[in-house]
Amino acid sequence: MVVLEAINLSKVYGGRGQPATRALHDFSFTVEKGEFVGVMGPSGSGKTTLLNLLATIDTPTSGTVRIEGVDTAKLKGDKLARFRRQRLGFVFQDYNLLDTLTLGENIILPLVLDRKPGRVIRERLNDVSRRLGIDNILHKYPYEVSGGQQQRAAAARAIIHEPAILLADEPTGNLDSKSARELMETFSVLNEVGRVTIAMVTHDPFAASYCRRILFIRDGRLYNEIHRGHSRQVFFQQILDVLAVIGGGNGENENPPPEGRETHPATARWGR
Amino acid sequence: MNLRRLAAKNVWQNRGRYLAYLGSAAFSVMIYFLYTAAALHPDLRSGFAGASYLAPALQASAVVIAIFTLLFLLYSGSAFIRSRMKEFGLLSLLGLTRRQLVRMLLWENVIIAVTAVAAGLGLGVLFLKLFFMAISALLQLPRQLPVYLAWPVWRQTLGVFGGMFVFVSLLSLRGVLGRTVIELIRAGRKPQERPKFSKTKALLGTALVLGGYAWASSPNPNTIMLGVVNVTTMVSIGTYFVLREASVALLQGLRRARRLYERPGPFLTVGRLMFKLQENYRVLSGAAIMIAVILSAMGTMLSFYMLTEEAVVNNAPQAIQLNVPEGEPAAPHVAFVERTLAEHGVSGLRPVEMRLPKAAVENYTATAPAAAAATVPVTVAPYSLYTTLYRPAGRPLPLAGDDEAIRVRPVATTGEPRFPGAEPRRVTIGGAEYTLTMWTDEAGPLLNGLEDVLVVSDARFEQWVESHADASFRTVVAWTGEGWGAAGMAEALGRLRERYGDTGPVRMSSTYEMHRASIAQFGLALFIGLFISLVFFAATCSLLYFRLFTEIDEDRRYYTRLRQLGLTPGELQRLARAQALVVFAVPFVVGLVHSTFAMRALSTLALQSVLHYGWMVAAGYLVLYGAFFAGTFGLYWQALGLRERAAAAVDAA
Repeated sequence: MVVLEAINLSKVYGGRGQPATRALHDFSFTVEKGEFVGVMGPSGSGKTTLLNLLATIDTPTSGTVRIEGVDTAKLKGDKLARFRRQRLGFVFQDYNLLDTLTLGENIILPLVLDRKPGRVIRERLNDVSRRLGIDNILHKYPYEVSGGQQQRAAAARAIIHEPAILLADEPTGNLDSKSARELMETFSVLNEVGRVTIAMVTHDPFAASYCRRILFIRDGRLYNEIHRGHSRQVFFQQILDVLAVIGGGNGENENPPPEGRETHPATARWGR
Repeated sequence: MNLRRLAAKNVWQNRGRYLAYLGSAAFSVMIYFLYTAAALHPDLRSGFAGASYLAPALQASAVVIAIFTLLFLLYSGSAFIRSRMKEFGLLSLLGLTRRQLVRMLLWENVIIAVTAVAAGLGLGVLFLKLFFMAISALLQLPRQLPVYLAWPVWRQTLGVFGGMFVFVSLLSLRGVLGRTVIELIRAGRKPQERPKFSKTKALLGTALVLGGYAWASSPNPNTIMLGVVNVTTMVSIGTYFVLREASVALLQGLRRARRLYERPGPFLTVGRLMFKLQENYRVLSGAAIMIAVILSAMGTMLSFYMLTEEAVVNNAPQAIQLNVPEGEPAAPHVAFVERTLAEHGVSGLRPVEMRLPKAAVENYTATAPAAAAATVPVTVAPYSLYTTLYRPAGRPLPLAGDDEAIRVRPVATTGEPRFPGAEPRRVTIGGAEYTLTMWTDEAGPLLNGLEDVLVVSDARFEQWVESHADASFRTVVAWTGEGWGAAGMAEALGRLRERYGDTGPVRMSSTYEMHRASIAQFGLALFIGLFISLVFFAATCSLLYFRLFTEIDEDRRYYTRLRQLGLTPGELQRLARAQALVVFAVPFVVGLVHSTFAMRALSTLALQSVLHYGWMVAAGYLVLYGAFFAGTFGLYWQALGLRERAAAAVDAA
């Protein structure tokens, strides 16, 4: 079952006298239920733009985003906001926890916003916090715990309302390597055991190696796509290989996409 | 870019926040300047009633204004520096030495201070003429005051505010220099301390406030007079404690009440108010006390004004009254007054001409039975006149027959009537003696002037006039009706006064002139009170404005996060409004309760309830305050910038 469908997405910034920048160019891809997809690319390649479009925070210049079959461009104002908080879960680089609420309160926020009964809130909080290993620090405030714990609380908040898809923007960007590994292992468990669909933007190859599939963007276009085999180690090496070829991504010296050993043949038409 | 340019840029970038600071500082400078100019004005030292009090009173109010300005600058200066700690930390981190940081901050302060003082003085000069016109009108000075702008006025204003700005900027430097770079960067990330409920403080605060209330509710006027300063101090300190402890208790209680708490509005609001409590309660209690002062002061002034007016109209019920000496025909005077009134467009008054005999009544002072032999001179009037002449207070008493009479006392009794029943009394007229059952009307005089009027039935009046033609009579013409303050009345009375003078054979009295005279006595107090209230209002408003705008960067982050989590634009605005409304509503409610007790105390002093004047002032204040809230919140919401982006997203979609 397709959870997320991006069709010919383009995004142009600027215009009206200013030089227009094409951040995204006819970009298409789909995410099936239960997938764990990574999006990688050099700085300025358009990955954050892509995530913002998927997150419905930004609107595409042309193209369509469908989440669970709903065309998000058809939703406006309140409906859009409500859709975002009910069907999407977010994990941000800087955690985006509210300093004024405890971790527990931060986690249940989406349920409270939807006026769920207290019993449901309690049950889900117990369940989610135990799965993420933060059930003993729920009463603490964000500034009292480590970055890794804050990010796990953010992840708990992102899945407590059982969204269609969890969108993560550089979730390990602010974490040390140990916390980053713990978080990515948690994501893996959520994905494999909890059947949570995840789309993650990152430029950390180690974090990306936990994904099942990775899309590489460069200059707003799909550059390559690789799938993980049995070994995460091998996958990690593959990612490094692709990144080495993509390089700084200033668009001047274009390289042909490498033929990765596990590159899906069907994606070749998007590559250059 | 040198440090001075950097400082100028900082001020410009932070102009939204500096605006309130600048505006209220400039406003204070202006008021201080005006008051000092008046206090030092040579023409105001003598030449009218109360001149000797004027200069000290104006100086005292200038001092009050200066103190409040200092407090406001101290608070807002430190809050402002705190909100920019991170920026200073970053600059230090980038290698700005402490010396350079100090110089940059000093330059910023110099820019602000110079702008504020210059704007204040400019506005002061602009309004000086108007200010002196207002003083002349309120004090009813014979000629308008010339504008006075000598060097001492400038010197005093510049000296006081210059010193104040230097003091405040040095104090704010201390906060920055006392912190390490890392402390600077982290300041503001977490609340200063997690608020804890203190039972001792709660009890102390409650005891102080309730004690103050109890004192103010005392039925004894002397007790109240003794307590004015004490009660104000007790309630002010108590408010400070109670507001903090009550907020902590309430917010913690709400947090435990899950069913109530776990709804979108309270969930987000409670946590955030808790987070900001430490900062909030100081501002809220300060604002609450200032609002209490404004409401009480304005309520007192309005009460005095209204009670004075009531008393004047009550004591001189006839809009215009002519006492024509015996033997002179009244008709030419009536014609002249009628013509003058018509010329000035005054209508609605009805002339009543009456010829009334004089008599004497056995002394009825209840407290002095020994003097019962003495008599009191009275003017006799028929019952029909008594029921038709305009009297603002009280209904005419009934008269059962020809053997009854009503004494209308020349002064109104406030509170319990002194002569509730009827008693038989002897009346002497033209040498004859009658005994009538006498009732007493204590609602105020029937005619202008301090004279008793004896009301008898029309039949007995006719009989007395006929059978005692030798008694002495007086001729009175009254223009009766409600329109004593009608348009054109002032000019008409000016004309009439020219003809009748103050001591002529025909004596004229009027409600309007009496009213003018008594208001002139209060004019000074009204004036000073009004201006101090104005300064307090400005201080309260800028304090609250400041509270809202100091943390706008943090607020923007907060609301942006919520938007990303999927709060609708409407929900965001409701949330922001609710949180801002708490900051505005709490001081008003607390101030209103405080001032209600002040008005109760005033009622005790005035021997009648003046609470309704308190409500009127509060209602008026609420309108202004509400408008201020709406405007401020509009600015704040716009400055948050969430609306534009949300709208843009919707438009694009």
